[in-house]
Amino acid sequence: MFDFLKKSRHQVMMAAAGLAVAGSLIATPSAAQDKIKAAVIFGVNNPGSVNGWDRGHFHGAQKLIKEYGWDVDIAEGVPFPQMERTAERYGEAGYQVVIFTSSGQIRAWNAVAPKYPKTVFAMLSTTDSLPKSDNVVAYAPDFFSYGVLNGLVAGQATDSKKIGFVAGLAVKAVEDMWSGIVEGAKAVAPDVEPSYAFSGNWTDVPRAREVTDLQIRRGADVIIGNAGDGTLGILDAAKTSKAKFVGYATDWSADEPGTVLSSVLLGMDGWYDALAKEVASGKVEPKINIFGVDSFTVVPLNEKLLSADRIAKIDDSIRRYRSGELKIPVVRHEVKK
Amino acid sequence: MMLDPEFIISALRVATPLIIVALGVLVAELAGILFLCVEGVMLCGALFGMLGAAYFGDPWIGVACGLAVGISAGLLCAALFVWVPADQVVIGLAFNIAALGLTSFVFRIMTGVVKNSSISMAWPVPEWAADHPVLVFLFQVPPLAWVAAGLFIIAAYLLFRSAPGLMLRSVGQSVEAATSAGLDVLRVRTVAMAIAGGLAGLGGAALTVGWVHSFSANITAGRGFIALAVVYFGRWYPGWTFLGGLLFGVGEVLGLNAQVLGGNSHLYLMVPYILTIIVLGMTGGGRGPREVARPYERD
Amino acid sequence: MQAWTVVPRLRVGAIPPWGAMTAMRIDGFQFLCNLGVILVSLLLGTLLVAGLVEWVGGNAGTALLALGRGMVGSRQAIVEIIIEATPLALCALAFLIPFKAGFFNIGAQGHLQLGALTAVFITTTMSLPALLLIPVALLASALAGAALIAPAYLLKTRRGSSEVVTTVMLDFVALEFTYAMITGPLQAPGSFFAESNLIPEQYRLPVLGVHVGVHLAIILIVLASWVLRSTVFGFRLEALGGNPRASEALGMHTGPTLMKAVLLAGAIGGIAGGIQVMGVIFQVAEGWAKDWGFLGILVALMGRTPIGAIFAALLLAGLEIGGRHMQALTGLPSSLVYLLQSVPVLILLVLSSTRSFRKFSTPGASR
Repeated sequence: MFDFLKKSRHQVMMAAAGLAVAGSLIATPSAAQDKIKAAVIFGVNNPGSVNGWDRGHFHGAQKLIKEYGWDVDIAEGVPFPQMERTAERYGEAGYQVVIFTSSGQIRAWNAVAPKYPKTVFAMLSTTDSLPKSDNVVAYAPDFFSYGVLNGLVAGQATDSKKIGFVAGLAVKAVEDMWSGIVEGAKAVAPDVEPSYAFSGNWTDVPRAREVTDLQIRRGADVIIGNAGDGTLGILDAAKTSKAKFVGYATDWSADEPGTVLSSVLLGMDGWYDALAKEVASGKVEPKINIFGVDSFTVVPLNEKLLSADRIAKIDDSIRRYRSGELKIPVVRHEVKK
Repeated sequence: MMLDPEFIISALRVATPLIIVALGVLVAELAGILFLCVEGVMLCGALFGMLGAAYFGDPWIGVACGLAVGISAGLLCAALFVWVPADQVVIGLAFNIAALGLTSFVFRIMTGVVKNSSISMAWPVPEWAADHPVLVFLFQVPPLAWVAAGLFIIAAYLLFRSAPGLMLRSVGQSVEAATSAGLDVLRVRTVAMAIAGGLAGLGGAALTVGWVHSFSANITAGRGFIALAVVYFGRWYPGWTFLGGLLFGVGEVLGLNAQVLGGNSHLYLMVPYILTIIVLGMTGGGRGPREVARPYERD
Repeated sequence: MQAWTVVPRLRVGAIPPWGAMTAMRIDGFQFLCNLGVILVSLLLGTLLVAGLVEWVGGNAGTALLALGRGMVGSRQAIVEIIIEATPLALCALAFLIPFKAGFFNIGAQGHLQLGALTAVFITTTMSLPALLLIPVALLASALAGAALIAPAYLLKTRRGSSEVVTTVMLDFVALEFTYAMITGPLQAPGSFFAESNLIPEQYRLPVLGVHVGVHLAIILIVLASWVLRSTVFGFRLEALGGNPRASEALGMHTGPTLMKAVLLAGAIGGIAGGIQVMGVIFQVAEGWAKDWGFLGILVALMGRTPIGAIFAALLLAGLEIGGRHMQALTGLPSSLVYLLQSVPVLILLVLSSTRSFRKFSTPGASR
């Protein structure tokens, strides 16, 4: 019986292999082009769907296609166990640039970059070390100063003197952002009480909504949301309870114009620009490039939600922080684990 | 804290989709069908409910869309495991994956075509009631929670005190007895699946249109299975199933509230599940309809 | 009705009525027919997906070629598929064993998580010679899985609580516990991600062509297959499943058998996690586990026997790996990968069901 099994399975494999061989013969060889062949790897499905980090990356990828004329393939929904293999496939296939979009891909980055020296492996997320090879580069935001901007806005926009920060998981970027929020709020409004809560993961919308609702019921009237796809729930809770919302990474104004006070843009397009220029120059420097407060933009505050003089005060504090006039020390605020 | 009206409203928000879906599962189970594809049907209802609400600008139309899509999905499931018939468990699991793929796909296509946002269904508190806390509370209860309660009362009556209900339950208890009584088992089960699917779809719409006002891929995240568990928890009685759903809602909100106590938030997120197990342990189990999951073929 | 008589209705090789299709005897001709049905289902499924690809403006031809290449185009692809099929086949086994006794184990996903967590904990905190530590870690992961399923067993036997509820609830508990660990005590210091430390090189499973976890899994499955078919234990399991009430009437004999079966199932789920983490991924991180526990149920019921489950697992793993390859190289929506996995399975089930019922069903065999 088992012999028969082996045989028929063998036949299936032969047939399939034959198909694959035939296919590779029929496939047209890629014409020599000036277009740079690149790949962007996402762990999430449908990265452009919700505002935030992944849409920022998605937008950056589109920029590479439209402005720089790159030929970009987007891998999405790549499960964690398959990150390395996915990156390897691109290296094997001779892609010139492979872009990682999350710190969860650092391991794959470290493992694959040394194997394909001809491909540039770029990590566009927070990291503190480089893989052991020269064909790498990283671009990352300084989440502390990013958080400070959030704190400056939220701390002065609140009437109840309570602001809420809802995030997905307690990873380092989130902790740094929280520290920044606390320090930023403290610097301009020492009597403001910031609080944080976690939704538990980066996708659950109902849970994020209820966690935010909880914060609002405890008094927070400005909410900063950073929970991946779950942020939809955070925004909804803010809308329902008429709290103000500060958007993460990309511009959230179009989503709920009556609720979104502002968004603090991470300026992710800038990372893609920097990468494109480095690649075009032919020399990519193996370095971690940190983008600081100059690369972040605070979207003009919603005048329907805040009076003009308060907006002016907030704008002024942001200006003073950027210029260095307002000094905010980097203080770590631990998130309880 | 448990008596805090905000807490209760929050728990109702969580429980409502669960309860509605659980009713659908109950109907299917009583007819002898293991409704494992409930997760997929709920997800379909969630998506199309949202699309309908956003497209027509009216959440109630959205809910109706969710109901309609749920009925269609229920009929499809009926075709698969009543008429073919194929194994209910495997079809159920495969259907869920297919539904996940399909809804994510459709959602992606519709991005930009329809806005991913629906209007709240909440009734504004009228002026004459604004001073009475009890009335304010009643007006804050999500409308679909009232719908759910109504559905349960109707279902309990129909299932246990009417002829059609008896027909449905007999098909679930013993196909031999039912056939010898002249019932067309396949037809009864198809109707049961249409109802069950409709309710599951309605529950899905209650999640998106009634609760979070937006859709996201895999937004149900296992809540369909929780509804299934709730039915088993409730030992196939409508009343206990209703309470089981409420219990889960309470548990989840409790877990979310408890984050403030400090410590890792995930430990508190375990609360609803552990609570359900404990209560289940205290109340013991029961015997379900005997025909559940048995394939039936008309000879 | 015979349900209350003491003599249980035994059909060796039969599968209890719960959720099972007609028992099919395995022989050469049938297998060829099965293979044909599988191929047709695959074909129809991929054609459907190809249609969707065209609809969204992609190139179906490129997509299908990428799919083919991802599935069988290279030795590496085949190795990947085998590696991916391993947890699936083990979780299928974890479902099948108690299933024969009428116990629905939906907890494999949780056992997998806890087993992996335990294995990582042991290999990253203890230091013993590898020859000792590796088996200890695997054993510990098995125990962890068994420990997680024990409450479900106790509640079922002492209180009659449905294991469907308890095992599913425990799945979620295990998931949250895992998150708690990787964002808390087990989080790799200085990490930017919710992940544990990596298992040191010397404690990873050695590779013999493919990591030894695969070999171990095959041994376990073959062993289980033999146990179920040819030992007294397997016989008793069938008895339990064939007529639970009569078995209850038999009293004490059923207790140990069911307990062994359920705890074994938990242990197998746990080991599946331990193998996966010690042989493939080397850490527990956010998203480290796919839905192997739940897909395992699908695989179990498609394969219907431990050996059959291996083939069903290979099929599903092939679709997953091939599908991911296709997505990465064509940039098509990842939701198509889900459709690629489920539609052929649905078609297969429909086709094989109608076939089996027409050709091979015997009167009363549907019960």
